[in-house]
Amino acid sequence: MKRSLRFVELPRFGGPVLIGILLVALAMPAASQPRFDWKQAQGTEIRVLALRAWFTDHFKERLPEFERLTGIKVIFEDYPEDALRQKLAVEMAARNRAIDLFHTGTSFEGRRFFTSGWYADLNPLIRDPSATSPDWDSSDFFDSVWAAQRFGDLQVSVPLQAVTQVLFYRKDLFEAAGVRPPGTLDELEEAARRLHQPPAVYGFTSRGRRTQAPYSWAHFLYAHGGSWLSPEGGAGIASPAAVSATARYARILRSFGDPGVADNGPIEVQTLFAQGRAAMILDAASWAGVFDNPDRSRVVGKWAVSAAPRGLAGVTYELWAWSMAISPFSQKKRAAWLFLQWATSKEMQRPLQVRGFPMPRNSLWADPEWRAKVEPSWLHTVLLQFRTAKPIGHPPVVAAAEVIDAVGTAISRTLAGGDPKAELDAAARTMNALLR
Amino acid sequence: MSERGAPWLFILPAFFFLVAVVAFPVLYTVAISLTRWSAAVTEPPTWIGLANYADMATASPEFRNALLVSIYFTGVSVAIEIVLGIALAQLLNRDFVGKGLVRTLLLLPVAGTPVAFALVWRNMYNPSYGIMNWFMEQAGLPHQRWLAGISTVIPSLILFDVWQWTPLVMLITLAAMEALPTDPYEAAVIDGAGPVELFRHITLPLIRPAVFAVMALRLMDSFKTFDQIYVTTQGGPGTASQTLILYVFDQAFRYLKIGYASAVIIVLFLMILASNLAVVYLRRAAA
Repeated sequence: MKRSLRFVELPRFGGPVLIGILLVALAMPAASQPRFDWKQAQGTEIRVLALRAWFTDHFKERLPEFERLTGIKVIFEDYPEDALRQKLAVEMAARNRAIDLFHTGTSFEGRRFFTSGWYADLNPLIRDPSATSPDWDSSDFFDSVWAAQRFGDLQVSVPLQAVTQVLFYRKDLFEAAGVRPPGTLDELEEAARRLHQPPAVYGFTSRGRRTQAPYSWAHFLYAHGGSWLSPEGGAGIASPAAVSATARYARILRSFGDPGVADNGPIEVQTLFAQGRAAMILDAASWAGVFDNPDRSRVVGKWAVSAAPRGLAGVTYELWAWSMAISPFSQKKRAAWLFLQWATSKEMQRPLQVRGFPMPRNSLWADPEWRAKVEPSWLHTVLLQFRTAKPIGHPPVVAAAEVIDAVGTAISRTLAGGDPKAELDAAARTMNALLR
Repeated sequence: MSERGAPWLFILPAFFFLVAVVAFPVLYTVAISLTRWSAAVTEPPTWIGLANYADMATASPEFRNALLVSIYFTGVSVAIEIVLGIALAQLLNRDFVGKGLVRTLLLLPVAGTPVAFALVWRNMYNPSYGIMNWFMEQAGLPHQRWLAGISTVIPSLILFDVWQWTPLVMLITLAAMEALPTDPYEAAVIDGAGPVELFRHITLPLIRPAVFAVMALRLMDSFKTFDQIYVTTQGGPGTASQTLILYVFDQAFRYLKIGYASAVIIVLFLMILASNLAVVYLRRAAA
């Protein structure tokens, strides 16, 4: 009894001493190593061409902290997605030195920017200990997301966020109808049929607009065993697998989708699900925050997530990420790199993760406090998909915009009643002419 | 300085200004249209003569589609706007209580921001949650796909355009009507003319110059309609509402084919010129 008492009392006296020793030990390496110099580019002004998005708002809000830390002034110019791409292309073609950093979707415009020489290589900066803070830790990013930022030997960008497509479904409707969440595309079609109660609730809806449809359709393409390119390097989008994938995509949406599907962009798909008008959607995992927000959603607490369904050829989770890159024409690459590190640090990405936007750093997914609060099906599905996702390219060709438009036209026209084979043949002709 | 030289000297600044802001850009565009030039590749433009124009004429079904869509959209919407605008002006060309208010309200579509209106119309047309299908339901008519249907998208865009631009036609023709002398009407009434005769034989011939002017204006504008279509449909579904100007936009700013896009814009320029010459010809023929 006495012995055990003494044992219990030990921490009371030993604790503070132990903590003191630990603190000294922790401080030692920091004292012996020169501290990272955040002020090395003090007095510089840098300009960022940015996407108008939640992460940009976050950066802008916290900008005073960065300016205090580094003494660098940052000017943000933000545009919607299409306008940003046009602005970037024009500025880069003109080799404008006034742009230091820009947001980029490497899966989409990466190959064009890489072949045109519009990305600065970040490797020399990452490897230089005087330029890169030891806290930044590039090994913390998911391998799949990091791989999407590399072309050849070049490290062209750092991810700001990451997204795969997950199946959002209404668990209340599924339970009421006695339907299990679908694991395969056949089951998806069957579930859509059983839950389709137009015009109150549509079974399944998705993107159908020319520029947007290929994003959602690509999942069906891979699950049917198709790919953008043929093994010989030509257009693969009119292969039997691609035709059957397109026929299935159109069949499900024409039978169980909303009547406006041929013109649906992301906003429409999101609105239909948030308003409780769609039983299932297959779209960006980052929408969880919207569906959980009572100001914007009527389905708070009524939805769950499962992995994007398999097809006969298995399943491929495609990765999409918005990233930040440095312009090769910038004269202030050091200052730009300091901003990029700060913007993609754990401290800056954590608040976004907490708000329900999936972030590309492993460490943020491990936080037990946060894990206890999020929808468990979302957490497990997104984590699983992130670990196995592939940055295929959307599509993996230089002339991405032209190919997306050609394929998107074919999908959109099939959704409006066209023949998938004929439409895809026409798109493949356009694509082959571009690849030549 | 001689008396004969002075006037020329006075117009010189205006002349140089016009050369700088009008002639130079047009000629430069013509020059670019004769090259192969991709902004994405770091090669200088190469001279290819009329190959871009030949591509348009022979190889490009998308160009033909865009040309037809443009003519369909502009032809129908301008025709409706002119007829409806004149009818509205005739209706408002009298004294009644609240005339000023009605006129102001009718002008709202012209005064607003096209992009904001386009977003509103896009939501109104949504087949699942838009108000247009609700109206159809109240009227006992079947639901439509509106912007999401290949055959309904252009009529839907025309309705939007008519809503936005008819008031402008109304305003200009109304101004012309209000400036008309009253004597011919008094004489005609004494001769026993009814309202239809008055409109057909007096009002219409007298306001004809204003009608042709507004027609020329609308034709020019309508061929170049960009924001409304881009925001509502982006040229879709497929390419069903891709007008020439949207086609040019994709070629230039999304595919970065500057040479080819310049060639298409020259064709569009010539089309607008031709349509305006046609209006001038009609006006002379009618006079």
